[in-house]
Amino acid sequence: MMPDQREILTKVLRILDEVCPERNANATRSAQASLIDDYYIDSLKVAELSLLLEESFDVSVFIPHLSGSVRDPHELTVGALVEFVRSNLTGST
Amino acid sequence: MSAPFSIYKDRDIYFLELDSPGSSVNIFSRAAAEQVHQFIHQLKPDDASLVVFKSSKPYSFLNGTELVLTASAHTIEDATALSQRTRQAYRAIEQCPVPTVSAIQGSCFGCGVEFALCTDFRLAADSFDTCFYMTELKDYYFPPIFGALEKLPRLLGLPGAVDFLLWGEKWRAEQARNSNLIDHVLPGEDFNSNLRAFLTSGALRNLKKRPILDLPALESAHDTADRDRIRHRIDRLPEEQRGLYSLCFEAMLESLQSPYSNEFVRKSAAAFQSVFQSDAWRNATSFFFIRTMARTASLGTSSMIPSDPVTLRLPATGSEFARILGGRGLKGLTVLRDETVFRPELICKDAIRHPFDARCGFDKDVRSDARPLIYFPDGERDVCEVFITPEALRQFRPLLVLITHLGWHPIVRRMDGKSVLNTLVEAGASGLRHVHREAQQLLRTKVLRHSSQVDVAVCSLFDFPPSRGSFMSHFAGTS
Repeated sequence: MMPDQREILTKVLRILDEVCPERNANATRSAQASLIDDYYIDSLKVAELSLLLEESFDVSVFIPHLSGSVRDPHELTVGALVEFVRSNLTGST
Repeated sequence: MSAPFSIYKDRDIYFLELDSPGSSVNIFSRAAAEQVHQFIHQLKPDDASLVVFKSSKPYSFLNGTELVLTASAHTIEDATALSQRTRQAYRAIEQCPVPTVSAIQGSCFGCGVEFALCTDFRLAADSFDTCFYMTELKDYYFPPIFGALEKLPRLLGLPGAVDFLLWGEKWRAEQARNSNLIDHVLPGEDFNSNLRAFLTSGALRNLKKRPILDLPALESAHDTADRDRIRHRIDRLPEEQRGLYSLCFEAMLESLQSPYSNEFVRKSAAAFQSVFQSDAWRNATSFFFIRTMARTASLGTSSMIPSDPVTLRLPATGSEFARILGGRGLKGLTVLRDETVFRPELICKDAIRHPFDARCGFDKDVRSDARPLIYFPDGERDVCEVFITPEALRQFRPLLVLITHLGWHPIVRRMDGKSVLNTLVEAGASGLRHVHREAQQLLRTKVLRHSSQVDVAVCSLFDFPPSRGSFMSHFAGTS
């Protein structure tokens, strides 16, 4: 069964904690957090995160496709990533 | 989180030491650009005799800009806005009222090279982790936009600039100096002490501002022949690469006439516009991430910093593996030659010895026995295969990270079974569709962890161009 939005968010936050141990001290651990400004995600971490999300959800989660779909890098939030995972899961079912 | 640069003054020299927060390599972020720009803006000619840029990040001087952001540039205006702060910072360095020095240890890639080209003197550590490489065309299928196109032909001469920029040669410090990319080489061991001694020796006492674009163009008697040879090689590139390489080459030629001419600006802009938002550019940029995913799938980390120093004990003579590791030191790697050992041994920090095998050269029957095995099937190809258990991988990971610094892509797989690389090479004799079919089987049976490992292996073994993106995606549905 496909996980719901909350389950996806929980898993995504857990994997983000693993990949990005350093986080902006003022950032909340939530869907609103920015991947760039709060999780300090760089290109190496984008690749690592993509791989771990793919293995966790058993679906392709190639984050460069997400960053290519936004106009403003600040739109790259945890919530946008959760939605990206959800849409890939929907597309694969 | 701390600022990217630590800024301090020692006697009359300012040091700007880069340590990108939260990243295993240095990147020229917006915050770094802002910090450099502000520092130079406040600097007066009498404030210091030199400004020295260096890194405190192991293995990395400067690896690039924020690649993760470039995908969000959908229009030329977006891209211009995104690169604006970097441009301003680089221009500030060029116009800095005090002479500037790049003290380079670790990888200096792409816009890291372009950063160094803005400074008045470039010196580098003679160590294996110091490597100069223009990533733009080779890896990202994109023209360099921070000055390399016009500066390199003037600094290196046309043939050198073409080798470095178009063909993506990787240069160590000695070659960089011989090619005129840098001015001086310092011993890699204890680089900071050597740098301090060099700076205090007064060798740079009379250093003046010396913009590269003010240098006269180097002319060679073989120019026409060189140009024809280069054009001929461009004509043989894969179709999707020809246009960009040709435009970049013509822009480089134009820059030799005049780097400030309208014609140079027109040609370099045409190169940019020809690929911006093209499939080939998107694919090639994606391939950087695919390579990193393959490394993560193999090593369990994307970090380029080995967690522990590595000591190897190798047989005293005849070790091809020793040659691969290099005659000179890679920081963090100690190689001991020992006539009492017959196979390589990894010595961990707890002094426990872990014997392993290293096979160099094609071996159609290669298999591991009870020990880990590192297999280099072809010295001309930058891929190797590692047969290893997950438990042993924990011990060997620092060594494998160091091997990536030497330019190899280790494909880690489980211990048992036939070589993955041999399987792919054999399938390749019947065409790439057969390679795809075999690769699917390797993934289904979990010999390999992730499709990116196949992508990297095929790129190396069959010259599958990154501008076509993932091999596995490219052939999906065809076999």
